[in-house]
Amino acid sequence: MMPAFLIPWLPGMTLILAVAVQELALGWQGWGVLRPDLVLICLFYWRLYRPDRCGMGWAFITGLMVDVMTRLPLGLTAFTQILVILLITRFANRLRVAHFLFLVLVMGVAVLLEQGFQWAIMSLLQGPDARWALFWGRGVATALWAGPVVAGLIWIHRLWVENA
Amino acid sequence: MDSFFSLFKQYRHGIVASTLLLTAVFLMLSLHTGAIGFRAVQVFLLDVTGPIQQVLLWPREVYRWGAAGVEEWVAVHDENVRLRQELARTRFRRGRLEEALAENSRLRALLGMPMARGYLALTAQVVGSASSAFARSMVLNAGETDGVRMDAVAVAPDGLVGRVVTVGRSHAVVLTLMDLNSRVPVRVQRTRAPGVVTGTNDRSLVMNLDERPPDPMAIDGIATGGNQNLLNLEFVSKKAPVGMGDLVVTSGTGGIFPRGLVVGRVVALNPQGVGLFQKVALAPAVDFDRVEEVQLLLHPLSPGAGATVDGGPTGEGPMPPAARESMGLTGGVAPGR
Repeated sequence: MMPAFLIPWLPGMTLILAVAVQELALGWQGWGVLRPDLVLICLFYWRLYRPDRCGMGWAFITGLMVDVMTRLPLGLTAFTQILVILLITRFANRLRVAHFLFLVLVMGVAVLLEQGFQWAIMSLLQGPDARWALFWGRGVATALWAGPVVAGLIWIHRLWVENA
Repeated sequence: MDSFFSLFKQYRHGIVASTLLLTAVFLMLSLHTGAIGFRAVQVFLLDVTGPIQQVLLWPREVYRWGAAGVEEWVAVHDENVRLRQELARTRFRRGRLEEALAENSRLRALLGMPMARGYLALTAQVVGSASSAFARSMVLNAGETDGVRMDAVAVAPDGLVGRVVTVGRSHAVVLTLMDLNSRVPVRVQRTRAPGVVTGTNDRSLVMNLDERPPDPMAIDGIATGGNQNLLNLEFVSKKAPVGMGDLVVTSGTGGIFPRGLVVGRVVALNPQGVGLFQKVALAPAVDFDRVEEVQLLLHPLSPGAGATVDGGPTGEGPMPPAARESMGLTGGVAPGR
């Protein structure tokens, strides 16, 4: 199936894939507004269920990747993702036993929280302007896409466990 | 020593998180995007994620290729007839254009002006676009190996898209006109009034209604909010004649953008403005949400520049006439800067 040495890197690989898909260009305007934060969904999942393989370092690295690809100030997404991951870690025990639908809502809120942090920092750096449709749409899109994305992650996780 | 390690172990998560947060803040405040070390990181990350995006776009390309093939097959007869007619007309026009070109050369020589320098063109596909609410950039599937260099100008058939700000081995990032950090020197085509077009990041441009011009046409054009996708035209003198619907083109000053590329049209203006300048809003000529391919105009002096504007080894064929017209390119040579 998959080389054994790659198995522990599955969370990292899914995160890099998430960055590439998230920043993918599709010639469809609706996609722009309803583009989910795939990186945060992946971080959320792996942080809850394999925290030993998905630490702050991955949040930092994937954040830097997003910053570079979108030409945001370097460190902005890294900073806000770490803040969100810290919050997820703080409530991890409760979230692990929560209902899936509740988790979906939490993911949407977490994304909006991350966007809020980014907006606050960007307001200081270059003024309060933002693409607001994208800002709010991202939270909704993340909640909508969380189901299929998490299903995919569970499938990958199962492969991992079976291999082990 | 042992107690130090046990303390570190106990607060490991907190220490790691604080270190990374401080590093992120340090990067945000200290590193500007043009720093040498930062550029190396950008190039590396671009080369890692770019190919993944290209693979992911493969189904779309197959669909587009198939759909285009079917459409072309259906329309081939009609197109053939139309093209024959057009060819006849074009032969006549070409003669006139060649005459005009020759006349232009003669007049330039008379004026003692240097000949316009030609730009080389390279077609690149947009494989990524910024998902952030705070940036407007695109990732292209052409990089250093294709001859792309920093500040290469990106254009679409409708007009100017932006300029290359990061170049990887096989991918590059374009800062679009819509980005807040974009600045393009321009002129109003009709009146030659100079100005600078700046990005708004889709910010709603609210013109002061109390100061609106008496012209009812202008009132219709006033942008009052929402996701407008408009550009700012700044530093236009209050005395400069600017009207609704005026076309705005690049001025060629600044040394990056060639002269005459279409930027957009005036859709809102307030001649009273603030201070010394008018408030003018432009609708960009390019629909940035629908750009799938761009032409990169490469300066011929930059090493490794690939194809000519008429297509070549790295180009994907001749540039469409509409594109050439909108870009002000005639006879394979762009107007001088």
